[in-house]
Amino acid sequence: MRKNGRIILSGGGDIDVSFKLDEKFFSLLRDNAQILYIPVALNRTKLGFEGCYDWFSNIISQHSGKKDIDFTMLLDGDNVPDFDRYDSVYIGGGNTYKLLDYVYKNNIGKKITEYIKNGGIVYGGSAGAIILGKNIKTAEEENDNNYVHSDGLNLVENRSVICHYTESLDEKIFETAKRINSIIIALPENAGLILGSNGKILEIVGNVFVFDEKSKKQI
Amino acid sequence: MESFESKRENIVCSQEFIKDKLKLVIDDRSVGFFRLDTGEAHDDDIDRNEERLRLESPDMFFKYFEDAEIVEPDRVCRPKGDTTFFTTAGVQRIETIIRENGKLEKELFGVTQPVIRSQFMDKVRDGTSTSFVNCAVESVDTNPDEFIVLCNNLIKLITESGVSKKELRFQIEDVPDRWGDRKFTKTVLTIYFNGIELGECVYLQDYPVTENNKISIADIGFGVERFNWGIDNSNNFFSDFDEFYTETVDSNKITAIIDCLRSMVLIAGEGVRPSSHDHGYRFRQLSKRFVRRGQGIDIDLAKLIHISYKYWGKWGLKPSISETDITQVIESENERNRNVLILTLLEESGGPKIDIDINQSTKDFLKQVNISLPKSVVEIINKIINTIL
Repeated sequence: MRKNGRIILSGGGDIDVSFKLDEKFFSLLRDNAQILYIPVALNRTKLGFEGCYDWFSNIISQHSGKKDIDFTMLLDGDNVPDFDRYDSVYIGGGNTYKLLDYVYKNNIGKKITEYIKNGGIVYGGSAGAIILGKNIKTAEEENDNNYVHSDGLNLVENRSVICHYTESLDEKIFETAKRINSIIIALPENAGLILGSNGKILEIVGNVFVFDEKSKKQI
Repeated sequence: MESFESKRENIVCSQEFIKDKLKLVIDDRSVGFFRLDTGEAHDDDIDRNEERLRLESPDMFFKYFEDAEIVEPDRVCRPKGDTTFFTTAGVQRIETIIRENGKLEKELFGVTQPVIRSQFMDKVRDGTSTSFVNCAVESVDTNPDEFIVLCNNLIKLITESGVSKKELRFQIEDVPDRWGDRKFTKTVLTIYFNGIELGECVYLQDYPVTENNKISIADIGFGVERFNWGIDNSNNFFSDFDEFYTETVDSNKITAIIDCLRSMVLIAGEGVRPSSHDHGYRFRQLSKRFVRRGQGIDIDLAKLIHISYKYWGKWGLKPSISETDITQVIESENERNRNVLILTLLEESGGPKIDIDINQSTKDFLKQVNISLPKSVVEIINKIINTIL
């Protein structure tokens, strides 16, 4: 049923801001697609995770058109299902370190890698995109709980990812690139990348930049 | 019944305060839990262990909170701009008050609120459901002493339902929280019996109505279905639907099927039509799960809808359309999603992707299948139908 695995990296932001990339994501899905939505980077609120559920419903409503798309929400503490039952895995934003900790504790990293190799489509939004890169220290300020893991899933050709990029972050990114010894892909909120299962860039949406410790260039 | 006494200012509703006032002591047998200090063999409810009194009506709840003004439940579907699509708890009336009045003033009210919690859509089993009646008492501009009175009233309700004080267990924690853009800290007292959560008493110390206007709120609540099942789990979880539970099918599976229908009735009752947007999308998701979960199980849909309709009415739902209309809209959506399921299973079994209108009755859909598709595909579809109908 599946063809080619895809990795979609989104710079984050509200539904309207990421519209163009999201549209491309939904165009890759079959008519009756089932998505596994993982919002574990977010904290529970007074009304539980109902807001997350509504938010994701909204995204689907915006883009499904005539497609009959449905989703299941996976929360911390739930049994991790077989990813192959789903047409896509959507990893949402929030605290990057909390998310990566969840991935390690539940041995999900290997599952995601295998899933993409087998033709699955993984969408990473903000924190969800950063953990797919080499090192998540691009979001080091989010480590508010002494989380120990910083090695991402490294699915983007040895490059790390930073989201919500604006020019004001340039100095910080140069310094981080040097410190973690990694090229960094910087995604503004209205931008994103579509990658093949091997991590190679297939399509660029918006203005995406690549940093090393000394230079910055738009790709 | 305890009543409110004079307001004491500057008392913090800390964990220690709650433990002291409720006479909670560490439970040596379960780490992290407290129990009521009931003394030795003289507590007044020592024999209260056999008969369980289920909560069957709003009055049975409100009589424990006589000082509270009884208010009508909010609509289940919330207006655009609120923090969630659906009302998820009685406390959400606070949001309604702020939306309508722009401010919060001292008040104490009780509500039996039918709610939808979509986050449990794929986690339904005995004890967990997407819709339930949230019995809630909210005290706005309150103080820790008043909170303790409400906690004691809830404990009284539980023990007078037949649960011995000695068997209650408690947890207390301070939790940073947010509701929409508003951030605050809350202290939560959770009450358990036999390892099942029966209810929660929450104290929001400084709920920010605006940046400069903070107010304390006591939020006491529980789900009726969980409560009734928790005090006596020899009952079916949805005990009003006993006739649908059989010995041959796992009760969790039956609960998950009934749950879809109950929630659909609640949503349809507000005049919502299934769609790919907003409240209608949730309706569609529930119907899809009903069809999938009900594969191969003979269910009297009309009866299930009828019992659901009566049930919600008993707890305060005032539907805007008739039971007949609700039945019609649910039946038609289920048929649509049965057609979707047939096409999905066809594709998953290696069959071709076919283009047939799904928005028709399954009978007409199958007629069209028979006329327009090659015999080999019709044969696969017939096999699928045998497994799902």
